[in-house]
Parts: sequence; structure tokens; C-alpha cells
Amino acid sequence: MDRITTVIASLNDPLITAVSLAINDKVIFIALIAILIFLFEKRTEKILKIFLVLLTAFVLASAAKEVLGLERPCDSAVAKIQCPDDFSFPSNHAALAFTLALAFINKKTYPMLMGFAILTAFSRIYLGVHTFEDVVGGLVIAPIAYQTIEIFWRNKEEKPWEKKK
Amino acid sequence: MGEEKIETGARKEAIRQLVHAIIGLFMIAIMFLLGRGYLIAFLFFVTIIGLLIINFRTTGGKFPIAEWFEKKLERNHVRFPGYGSSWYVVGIILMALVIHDQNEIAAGIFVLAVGDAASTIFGVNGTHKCPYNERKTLEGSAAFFAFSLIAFVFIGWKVIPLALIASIAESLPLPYDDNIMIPIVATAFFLLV
Repeated sequence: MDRITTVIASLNDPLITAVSLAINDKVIFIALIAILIFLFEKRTEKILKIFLVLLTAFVLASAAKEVLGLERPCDSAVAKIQCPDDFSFPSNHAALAFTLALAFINKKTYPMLMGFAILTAFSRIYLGVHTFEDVVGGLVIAPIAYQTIEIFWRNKEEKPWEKKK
Repeated sequence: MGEEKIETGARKEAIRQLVHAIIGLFMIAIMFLLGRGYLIAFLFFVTIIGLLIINFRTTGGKFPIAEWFEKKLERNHVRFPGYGSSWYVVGIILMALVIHDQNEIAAGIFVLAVGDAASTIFGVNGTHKCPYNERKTLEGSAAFFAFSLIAFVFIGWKVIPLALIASIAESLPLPYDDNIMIPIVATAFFLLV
């Protein structure tokens, strides 16, 4: 395990644990993401696009987990929660949080959303269910997911099948 | 006047590609000196800070150092400041995360940094258009392949199929930036071979 993971996983603070457990809860995490989207974006089409990007990020991260099949740190070390059943790399939580932040790259709310993404990434390492590399993997998934949806979105806006020859 | 403009554009592109190659070689040096983990950590923090600067610039903020780099090195008509460099860093992180052998990572970074730079520098003056992509030339693809072969020092003969596949990927008219397309191809290659 790398030094960053070891240091963060060895921390123990009741407040950080409470926040990390809240983020770990799938329902709370998804609700939090949805609230942030509806809070900072009013355009229906953009909201739909963000949800599609998040779905793509989730699919890409889950596929990468299965393809690479890397074990979680909690498989061989003690974690603060029960070790999840799926593989480790990349972190789905981090991928979704970084993807959400990236969707607002040209908005003033971006630093706050990036803060949320970093907190999410930190919480995964803190709980002992992911390594630093897993959460960095989530960061890499974000722009790829965004670009993938962007391609389809651009084609949809341009409507190439309606172009005159 | 027109020729002067073209020359300035070509000069800017040559400097851009030189910087592109030097940064890649610097990343390889960091990895061999400090280790793969340090490279990942370094690039992670560079990405976070870089994205914050991009956000600051796109929301109208003034940042003289970033503006200087944009003026000197940024391609015209990019979607946002730092577009190409963001993909470049993400591409290197992807390779460093998924490929665990340092020599293979170095080969991937070398192909991305030097092969791609050579392709642009030689491709600009090329006269033979690529049959399936009018924006690329056969001279550029040949330069990509030839310069990528130098990565032989890292991975031996495996460099031939890697250089071939990466040069084909680079020449394809795909909607993804070359700086992420090449790392994806290199990563897939090392996972499969």
C-alpha cells in the first residue's frame, strides 16, 4: 500500500468517520449528488446531460473494476467498515464525484464541487475500502465519461442526418 | 504577410511540440527517480490545481502565468484553456495507474510525448494525405512510428507492434483527443500482450 493510503487510513476521528459513513451510504450519496445538480443547474437539458455523464462514468468505472479485477485494501487489512464485495480499482464514488465537479468546470460553483469530490475521495481511503490509486482512477474516468457523452450531444445538436448535401 | 503568419503558427506549433516532448521525458525521469507512486501523486495534484486554474480562467479570472502559457503554447480554437494539456496529464495518469511495469509505462509515455510530437512536426510539411483522414499525413504517421521505435530501450521488440498500433490510432479520425487516445491504446496493448 502507498504512503498516502496508509496515512489517511490510519487516521481516526469521530467527525470524519460520521461524514465518511454518510458518503459511503449509496442512498445518501446519490441523493447528495442529485441535490447538488438541481441546486446549481436550472436548465433541464443540461441536467439530463449531467445525469447521462454520471451514468457513463458509473458504467466505465464498473467495467474497469471487472476487467482489471484488483483486490480492495480491506481484503488484506482492517477497514473501518465491512469490506465491499466488488473489486477496488477505480473507485465508483470518486468517479461520480469528480464527474459531477467536471460538469461545472466553467461555473463559479466548481471549486465547491471539487471540494466535495476530494472529500469523497478522502473518505473512501479513510474508511479503508480504497487506495489512493483507486480514487485517482476515479478522476481519470471523469473526463473520459464527459467526452463520450459530449460527442453524442454534439451530434444530437448538429443533427447530421438533417444536413443538406 | 500571410507567409509571416504561417511561419509564426508553425513556429508556435514546433515549440508546443517540443514542450510536449520535454514534459513527457520529465515524467519518465520522475518515475525512474522517485517511483510510479510518486508520479501518480504528483500528477494528481497537478490535475487538481490545473483544473482549478482552468475554472478560474473560464469564469473570467485573470491569471498572468496561465495567460502567458495560453498565448505562447495553446492551439487556436480550443474548447477551453488547457484543453490539450488536461488530456495529456490524464493520459499519463491512466498509463501509470493501469500498467504496473515502469519500463512499459515509460514506453507508453515516450510514444505519447515524442512520437506524437514528431508526428505533428513532420506531418505539417507532409504532402501525402492520409486516405481515411484528410487532417493527417502519411509523413506524420511515418514519423510517429519511427520516433516511437526509440522506446525500444524500455521494452525491447514489443515496441514494434506498440508503435504500429499507436501510429494507426493517432491517424484515425476519432472524436477523442490524441493525448488520451494514444494512452488508451498503449494501456490496452500492455494489458493484452
